Amino acid sequence: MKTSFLRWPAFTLSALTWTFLSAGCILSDGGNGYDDGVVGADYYDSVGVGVDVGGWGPGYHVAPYRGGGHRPEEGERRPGGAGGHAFRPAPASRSMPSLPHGSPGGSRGHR
Amino acid sequence: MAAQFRTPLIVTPTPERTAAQSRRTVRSGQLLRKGLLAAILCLAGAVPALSAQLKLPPIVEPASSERHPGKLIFVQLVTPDLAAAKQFYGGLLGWTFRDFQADGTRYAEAYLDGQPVAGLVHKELPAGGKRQPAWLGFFAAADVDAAKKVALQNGAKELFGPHNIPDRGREAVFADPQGAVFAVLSSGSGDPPDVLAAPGAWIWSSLITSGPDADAAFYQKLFGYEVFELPANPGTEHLLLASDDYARASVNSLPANRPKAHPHWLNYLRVEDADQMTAKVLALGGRVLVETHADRHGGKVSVVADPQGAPFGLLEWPDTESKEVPK
Repeated sequence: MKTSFLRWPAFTLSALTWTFLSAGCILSDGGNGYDDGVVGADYYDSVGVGVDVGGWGPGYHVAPYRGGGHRPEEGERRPGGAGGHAFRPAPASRSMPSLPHGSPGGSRGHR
Repeated sequence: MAAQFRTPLIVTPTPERTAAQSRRTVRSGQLLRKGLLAAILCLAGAVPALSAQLKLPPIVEPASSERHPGKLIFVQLVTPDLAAAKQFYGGLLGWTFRDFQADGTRYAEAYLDGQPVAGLVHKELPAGGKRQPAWLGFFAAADVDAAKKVALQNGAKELFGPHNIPDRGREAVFADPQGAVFAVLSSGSGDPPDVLAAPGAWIWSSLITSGPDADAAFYQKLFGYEVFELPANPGTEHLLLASDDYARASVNSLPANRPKAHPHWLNYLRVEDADQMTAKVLALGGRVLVETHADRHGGKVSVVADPQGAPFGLLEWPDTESKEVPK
């Protein structure tokens, strides 16, 4: 009686443990989405960007306006107007957006 | 049958029965030991496999339900010297780091005031190639697979297909039609809120490209941006990409004297004094690529590179009510 009592639980325990943990091994190895590397975006830029950055002469601006509201005057716009662009320009009625302001949890708006 | 099973319970054990029972007990004990050994061996094999699963922290903690397609929501550096990069950015910006390691990959999450601000990945520079460390910007996308479809239909090249990163979300990396590299991320924890970036956090991005008009159209299709035209020097373009009524990025022509430069995205950190921070970059072993100068918002901008050569911008943006930066 004693041996029968022990045999099947021992076998069942080992079989279940093996099955469960083997499945865990498989899932952790192949189901995590890291097929092409642990961090998907671990690439180096293929060209010398640092070498290419520079040469910004006077009037080469990158930042947005503060406060928004400014739209280019007629003379500042590229000839051809909206029809000359590959993109769809924002309607003339839209004011120029700027960066958000306000701290986390505080009020929001434009600067 | 029941009687047959019950009978042994009441009979007096004979020497033969006792020996048989002993053998069964031994076998059962051996089986139990084998089972335990199997469990231990499997556990030993499972632990390294589980530890190889690099779980990156979410970009928003606590998680939110905010979504801002087209917003720059994370920036990641690939560097051949992780320790040096941590020392540089920690010294420059006060970032703190939490290390992660799995499957031979070393990763450090950078924090500013307890909030995730960037990821740093260690990777050896490939020998013989013309490659250099770079910061990669991740733009928010509601559906990375849908973004991939739109990107490829409009001339982009897939560099890394959509991947799930546990806790981080789903991401993919592309080169736009002019060749500038960018990533999209559907954050599993929502997107960061639209608030003014703290000093030392990412505040702005500019795409410097050989085809501003075509690139603006490409990103408009991808993220639904509004596109505004800004004044620019003759022969050049300066466009502004916006979503949710906020400026998200600019698109600029390549500088006139760098017509053959490779198109690239450049990300900017908010600083309160660009001159002072540019000097600090030099003191920490970095270099200056574009000297500090006033930009159209009235504040100063510079472009620098860390000691390993990864370029980034410094943008003054004081938290004042005035539209122009006080001088």
